[in-house]
Amino acid sequence: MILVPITYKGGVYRHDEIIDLIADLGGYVIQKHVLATEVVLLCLVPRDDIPLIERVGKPLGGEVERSPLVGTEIAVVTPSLSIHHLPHPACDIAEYIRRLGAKSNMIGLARGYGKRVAQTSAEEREIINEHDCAVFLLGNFEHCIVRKMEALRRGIDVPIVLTGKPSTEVLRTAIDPPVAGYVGDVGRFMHRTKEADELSRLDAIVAEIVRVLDERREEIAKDPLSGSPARLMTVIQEQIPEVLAVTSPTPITVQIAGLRVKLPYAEFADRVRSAEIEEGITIGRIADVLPSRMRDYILVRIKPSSETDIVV
Amino acid sequence: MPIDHFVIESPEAGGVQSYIDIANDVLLDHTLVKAIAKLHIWIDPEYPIFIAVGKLGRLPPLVRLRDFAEVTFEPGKVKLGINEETHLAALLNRLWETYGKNRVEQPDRWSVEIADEPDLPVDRNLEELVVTDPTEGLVRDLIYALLSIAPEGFRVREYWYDDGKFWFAASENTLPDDLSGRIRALFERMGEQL
Repeated sequence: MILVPITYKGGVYRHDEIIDLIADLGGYVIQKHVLATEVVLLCLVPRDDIPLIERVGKPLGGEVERSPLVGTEIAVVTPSLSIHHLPHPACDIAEYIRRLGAKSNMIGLARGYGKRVAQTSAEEREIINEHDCAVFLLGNFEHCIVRKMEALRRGIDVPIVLTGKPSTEVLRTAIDPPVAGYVGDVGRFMHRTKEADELSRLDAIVAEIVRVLDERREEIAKDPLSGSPARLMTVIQEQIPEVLAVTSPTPITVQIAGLRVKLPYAEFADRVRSAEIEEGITIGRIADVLPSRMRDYILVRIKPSSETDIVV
Repeated sequence: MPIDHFVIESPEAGGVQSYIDIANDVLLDHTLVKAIAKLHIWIDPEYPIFIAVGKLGRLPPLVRLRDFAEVTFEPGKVKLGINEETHLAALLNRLWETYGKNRVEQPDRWSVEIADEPDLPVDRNLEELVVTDPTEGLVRDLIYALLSIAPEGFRVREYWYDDGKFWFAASENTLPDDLSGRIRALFERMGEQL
């Protein structure tokens, strides 16, 4: 059964029927937003059952859209959090990829500005490495981007998508060794992205992120994970009900190969490890349960099946 | 953009249009477009250095006491009837500096009284008192705007303003020895003399 990411938008009225339908079909609701009288569900559902969900949702005013970034957590990295980079373009890009289902986190580096002095701290690098990919938003001059990337990419293990003002081809040629993705004609700007050509650049960023993440999924598929992150999410929700009381928009953030559980590590890590997925198989057997560098959260990294000899 | 001379130059031509857009947006956001007559920016990412030189348009007039208050001399005190509160805080500061807090009273929101003592008389020409110079605020806003336009890493900065002309230089390294020569050359290219 192949699960595909979708967004369901519809009225609040009888939306629980859609949630039940998705659960019955073997899908997962990753995130649920209730906005006044509208509900938005980010889900992973079986590909063949999308027409059925559309048919059931139609009388309720529901619409189904493909959202390729559902179930991913993406770091949007800016050289700082000053007026030079925020709210445009950093917030615009973070918001845009959020609309397509990603959980985006903005990371403003403490000393990421300047071509000679740019650097990242160990904490910043570790936080970025907890994501599925990192989108670096750099500036307008090729010369500065090349020099800065040498320092900023050091210690980053996740795929990097680099954006800047020079064209994509120029960036691809200039950056050595290469990074996972490039999006040119973005750079630093000081106004909201609303014109058609600007929105097309945001679409280009999304397309590049999707391409990079698809490559990562293909890589993972060669040695599949011992369990699906979405399945582990439901296991944790069922067995640790305290997570349902967390007020964060995503108490459990689903990643491509793991989860971020927004509960204190010291108090809940052992309970997460001992949560049972199937008879005798606990999360601790198929995943590393680690302290996250983001607050005191728990990071669950699912091991590949070759390491555990288990697929649940 | 109604600026007579608006030029941005850089050895890396690819970044010029971006900085034209950034400067446009920042000056519009800070409502400085009408205040500036000429602006010439030079950015060299190699050194790296950012130099902006320019000239303000017609400067706003000084705000004098007569512009927003009526002055009445009475025996033992001078009464000021305030018509507009915008400059009241600045006025009180000026009066406190000149006459001291013990001689200045504000019985209500719209009036101020200054004790007129024979040995310490109040200036008979008080109406002409300069309360604020709006150009000071304009220059402050201008420098803030140039800080936003300049690349963020350029933390070594220097600026100068006098009589409608200004320059702002910023770099990541120490400013070059020939900075004044470069600034003078940029003024000349703008058709002005420093």
